[in-house]
Amino acid sequence: MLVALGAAVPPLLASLEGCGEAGPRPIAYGRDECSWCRMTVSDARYGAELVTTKGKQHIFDSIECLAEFQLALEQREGQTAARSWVTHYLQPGALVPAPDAHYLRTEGPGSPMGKGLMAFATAADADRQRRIAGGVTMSWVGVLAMVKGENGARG
Amino acid sequence: MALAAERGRVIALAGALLVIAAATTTAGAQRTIVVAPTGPVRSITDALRRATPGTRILVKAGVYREPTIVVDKSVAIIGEGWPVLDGEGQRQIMTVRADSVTVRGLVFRDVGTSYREDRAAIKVQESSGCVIDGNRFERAFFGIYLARVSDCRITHNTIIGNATTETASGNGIHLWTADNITISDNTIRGHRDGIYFEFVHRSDVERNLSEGNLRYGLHFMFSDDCRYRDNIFRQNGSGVAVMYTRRVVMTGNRMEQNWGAAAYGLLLKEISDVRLERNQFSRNTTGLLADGTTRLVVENNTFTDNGWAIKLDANTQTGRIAANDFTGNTFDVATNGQSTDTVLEGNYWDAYRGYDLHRDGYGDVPFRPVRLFSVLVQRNAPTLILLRSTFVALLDAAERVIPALTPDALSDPRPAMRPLHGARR
Repeated sequence: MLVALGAAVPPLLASLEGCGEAGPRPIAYGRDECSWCRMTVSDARYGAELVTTKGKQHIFDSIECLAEFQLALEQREGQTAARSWVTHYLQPGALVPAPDAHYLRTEGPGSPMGKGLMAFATAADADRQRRIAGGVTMSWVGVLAMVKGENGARG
Repeated sequence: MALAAERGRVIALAGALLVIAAATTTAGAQRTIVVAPTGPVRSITDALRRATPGTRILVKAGVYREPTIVVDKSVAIIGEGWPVLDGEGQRQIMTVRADSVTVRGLVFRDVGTSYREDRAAIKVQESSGCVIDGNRFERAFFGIYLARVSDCRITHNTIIGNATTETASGNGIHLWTADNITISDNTIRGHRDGIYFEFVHRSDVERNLSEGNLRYGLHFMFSDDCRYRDNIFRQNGSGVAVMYTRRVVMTGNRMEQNWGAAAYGLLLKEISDVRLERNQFSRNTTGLLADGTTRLVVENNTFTDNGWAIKLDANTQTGRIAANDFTGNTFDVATNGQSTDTVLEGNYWDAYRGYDLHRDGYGDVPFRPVRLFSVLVQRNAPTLILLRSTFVALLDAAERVIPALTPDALSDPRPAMRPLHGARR
């Protein structure tokens, strides 16, 4: 914890100076553990990231885990995520701000946590994939609503 | 009543006769097509074109390079002398779309990585009754892949990958949406996850060896009512992780040698009604981690030489940990909160310093397996460097006499004086 705190201090200062302009850190596939489901993050098409208003970084193996984490953060702690990112499905490694991305939900196998969610940098990309794989496109707000609704049903 | 029973018998008899009649016709219709590198039929695709349901396709030794073989008839494809189906690192080798297909005695080689599709050596889709038995898989991306499949048997296969990074490798045996599948006596090495289940129900995983995989030896989620017996999960990057599932039975498995900051012999996350019995957890960073687990039963297992034998997150409810052996672990039990209603009873703890005046084999004073120091480490990881220090030994001694920080509830009122499962060490 002390070590983690030590490492967190410089970016914290930087974010104070730069008014939170720091971007996401690259995801260490095969090493990072998902902050929501605890799995080792491994599929580079689906990784996601969130930085809280307090500057704490969280890595996720899927869009659905990011969405669940963000909802829990808002509900339980009244905290809103400062910023969050998702991977552009067609370009593993490229992180796009979650609210700006375009989402596709498919029926088939694929996404790490079973909801079939993938993200794209542009609406055209999402649409092209929909024509190949089927499914429905949605916005980030739509993703959050969907995850919230389905978990309500599950509980 | 009697009349109805009588009618039932007649119907059963008629049914039996029909089955016999059907079997004879099939036997009559069954024929064999031989595929050989120099014979009249030189590819499996060609044999399938000539086949009718029930045909046996006998593949002779040789190397076969052909476009993805699509099995759309109920046939048996049997290799003789280990014929090799070579994917040349470029394609899926076989796609099965028909019911009741048997694949036996073949070597599947070089599927090749794909980032866009889950390419496999054999992919079985939307069908039932397949038997995949006694094959070898070498350097497959995904080995055996089932999607929307029921009533299959995957047995006696050897699946050896050459995965070097998790992102560039697939799973050995991968099931997505499947029901009533048996996976037994397979060996899986060098893939991302050895055995992977997502939305799989009522299935059995028995006597498999899954080792040296990059991520998990076994992973499942959303897979209710499955049983895991007598498997060995050894030296996998992150151990075994299972989550979001109800009614799980794991017995007689060995979780061994999974080392790493995020490696677990077994990670249970959001699991309810799970029975862990007669398993051996040895030499793992964490033997068992239960997070969000409800009605967890851990009985007659052995925990040997782990960093942490068991970590219980405080959100774990109604657990029972009984008649297990804890030996040689750095920490026996750790928890991140005070409140837990998990019951400990009749376990053997090698750290127990009590006595047995009644001579009933169980100690007369309770044992608290949560060491004060493990509570401190849980709150502040870097304090782990103080592990063998005199100061910590002093703290532990003080805490034993006057417990202040360790959860009072987590104590074993009847610790066994001797190991209960000594023979199995």
